[in-house]
Amino acid sequence: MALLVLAAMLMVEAVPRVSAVESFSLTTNPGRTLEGDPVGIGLTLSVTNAMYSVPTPYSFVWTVTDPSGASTTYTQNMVSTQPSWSLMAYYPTNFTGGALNHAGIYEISIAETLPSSKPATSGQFQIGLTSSISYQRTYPVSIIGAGYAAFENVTVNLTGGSSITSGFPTSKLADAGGKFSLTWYSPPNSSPGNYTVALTGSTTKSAADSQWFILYPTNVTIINSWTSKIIVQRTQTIEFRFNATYLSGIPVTSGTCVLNIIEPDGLTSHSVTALYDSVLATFRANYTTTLASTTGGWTWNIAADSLNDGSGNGGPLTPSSHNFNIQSASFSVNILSYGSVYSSGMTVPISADVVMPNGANFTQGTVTATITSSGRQVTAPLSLVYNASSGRWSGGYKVNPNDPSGTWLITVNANDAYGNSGQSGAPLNVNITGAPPASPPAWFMTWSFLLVVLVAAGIGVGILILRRKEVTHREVKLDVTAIKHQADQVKGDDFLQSIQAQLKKRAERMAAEHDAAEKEKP
Amino acid sequence: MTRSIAVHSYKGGTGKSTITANVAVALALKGRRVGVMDMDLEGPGLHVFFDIDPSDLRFTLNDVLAGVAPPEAACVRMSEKMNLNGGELYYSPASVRLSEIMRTLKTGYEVDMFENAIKRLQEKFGLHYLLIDTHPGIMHDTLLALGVCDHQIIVSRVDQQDIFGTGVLIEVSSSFEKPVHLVLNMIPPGVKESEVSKFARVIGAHFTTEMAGWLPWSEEVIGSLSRSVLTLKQPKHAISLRFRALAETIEGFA
Ligand SMILES: Nc1ncnc2c1ncn2[C@@H]1O[C@H](COP(=O)(O)OP(=O)(O)OP(=O)(O)O)[C@@H](O)[C@H]1O
Ligand SMILES: [Mg+2]
Repeated sequence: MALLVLAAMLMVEAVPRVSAVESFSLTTNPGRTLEGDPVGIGLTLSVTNAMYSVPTPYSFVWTVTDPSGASTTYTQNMVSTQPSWSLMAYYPTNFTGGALNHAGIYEISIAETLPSSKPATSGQFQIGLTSSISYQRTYPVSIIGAGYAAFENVTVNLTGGSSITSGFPTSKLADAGGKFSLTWYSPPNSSPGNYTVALTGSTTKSAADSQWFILYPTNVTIINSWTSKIIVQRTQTIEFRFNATYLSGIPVTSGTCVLNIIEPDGLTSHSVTALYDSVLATFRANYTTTLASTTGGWTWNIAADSLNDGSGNGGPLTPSSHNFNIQSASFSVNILSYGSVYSSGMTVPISADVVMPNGANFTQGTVTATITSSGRQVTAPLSLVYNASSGRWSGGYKVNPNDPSGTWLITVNANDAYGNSGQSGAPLNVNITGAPPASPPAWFMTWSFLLVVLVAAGIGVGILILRRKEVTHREVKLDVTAIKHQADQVKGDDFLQSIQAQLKKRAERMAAEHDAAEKEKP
Repeated sequence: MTRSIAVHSYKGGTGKSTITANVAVALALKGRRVGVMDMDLEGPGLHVFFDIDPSDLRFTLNDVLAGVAPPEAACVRMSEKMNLNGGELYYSPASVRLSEIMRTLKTGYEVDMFENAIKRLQEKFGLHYLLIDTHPGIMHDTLLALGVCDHQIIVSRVDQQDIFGTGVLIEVSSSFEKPVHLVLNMIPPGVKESEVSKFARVIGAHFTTEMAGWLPWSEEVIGSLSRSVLTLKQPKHAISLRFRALAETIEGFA
């Protein structure tokens, strides 16, 4: 039964057709190319439902009409032995007189002339003056025209919307083959939208060869980010820098970028705006820390799309993050006190400059001074008070009759509520009149003292007196005993001993090397 | 025979770098072959005088001390750039990158590396003098480096703040049994030469040091913002003559 049905179907198929109703379709590859493209356009005609049961001759006439209205043709014959097949033609190669010399739409129409006479199908392709019909700003737009006379002067005009583009119109000679080419680098701030490019030859093409394309804003990529300091102390300012480029690789030289600065908790954020600095040729922003800034690891981030060059170009596509560290401030403390002769009841003035890491005076917090002599405390910590007009912290210590004479060590400590601090010590030579000298007798020598002793000894050594207009006399005092005492302490310290041990070993090694070298000599 | 000369001070800002740069140039202008090392690894400053950005260089002294670069690779020949009429000046900069400074401070360096660098530069360039700028203060690595040099120059201001520490430093560093020379810098205007030399004699009487010279406080030096070497830029200026005199004294070091 099944066999029977199949046989019946085959018989139906075998019945010859008198007139076929073919279907035609045309494809062009590529659908668009540049003027003068040496490869040209491939045209493919696909035919289905063709006559074939008896071999049937087919003939087609391909006509291509260029934008100027001129047509060229190509005739193709074949014999059909199958129900579907395709034919190919190349424009301009197969079309006598054909050329890709005009920008615009080339119309293709194909007519069947055998076995019957009828229009088959039609199509089109496009010829342009630029490699693409859309560009991002700064990307080179290459403009190419063909079909000019050798070395013909060609004028090119480029208009964006209705406005003139800077640098246009301009002219340039075609090459020996009549080909014209010019590259336009669109500036980052060129207006986006439609542009029309038109080429006019001086002789050959009197009508403008023209085409439009679209210009879009471009993406920005961040490169070379830099942090001025990996570690900052509170109050210091940290600087962030980075460079950006457009998609084409050209540097971005304008605009702003908002940076997010994130505290160690990962949440609290601050923002600063980076601007382009044309002197340093970089985007740049500062963040100034305060005495209360959280210590620890911070980051500064460039979020996606946070940079805008001011002309509508933006980026980056992906965010980036950079680390830095804030540490508590260490104040520099400089004690400004001077030794002298004091009697009981007099006040030893103590003052200190306390400077924050940013170089400004430390004004709010606690500054205390302690005084010791030969390791013994002379007084409990004294509070110093900030004086805004002098910019100094000062106070004083009232001398007791039983305070020791000699070298006092003044230690000044500065602290604030946030854990910032600084410390410094300074020796002070104090001679308490009427008080017994501290033991061991720390007799100290001033220059004046030396003068007396040495002059008496007949050596004639003087003092260095800094005269200022003969009005004030100042001396630099050299307390030889205190210096030697201090030096002995350093020399007795482990660290100096280790240095000396290393140097000694080195000297021995060098002596050994020297001996060995001597022995080598004949 | 090369002489290595360390330039040191107790306090910062006494003029070590200024003196190192100017004396080095003065010696080179006399036709000497001079090396300059910036061993102020914590706060390098010489690159400013020589107008070199150490970040542009492949290696710095930090790499040499860490043993990752040969000393001559971290050395810039300045002779042509500075036009030193036949003299030679080789400058070994320290890194100015905070990360590298931190790393060097953290790891420290072997004194052998430093000594090796001195020897190698001396041999490689046939140096007559190698001047070494240092970080101020009494610190382990610096003192060790001083102990390796043939001479030490200690720079001090005549200032009550400086003089005490300078005294201590002279005492400590003379225990290395290398000659210690004192240079007084920024002598205020109005102080007579005779007074300075008296002062020098007193110091000489009490400490094992010799006065190598003194330099007046100079408007020119401060005004140059450390951006040029006056001995080269204004060779006839009074302060340049002082630097040259100091260079002469150094040539006379035993
Ligand atoms: N004789 C001088 N007269 C006036 N200013 C001077 C003099 N010598 C140096 N200075 C100035 O003093 C400042 C410090 O000098 P310099 O940098 O040479 O000192 P330094 O000892 O190397 O400092 P640091 O310890 O910070 O390395 C500079 O501004 C310099 O111009
Ligand atoms: Mg210095």
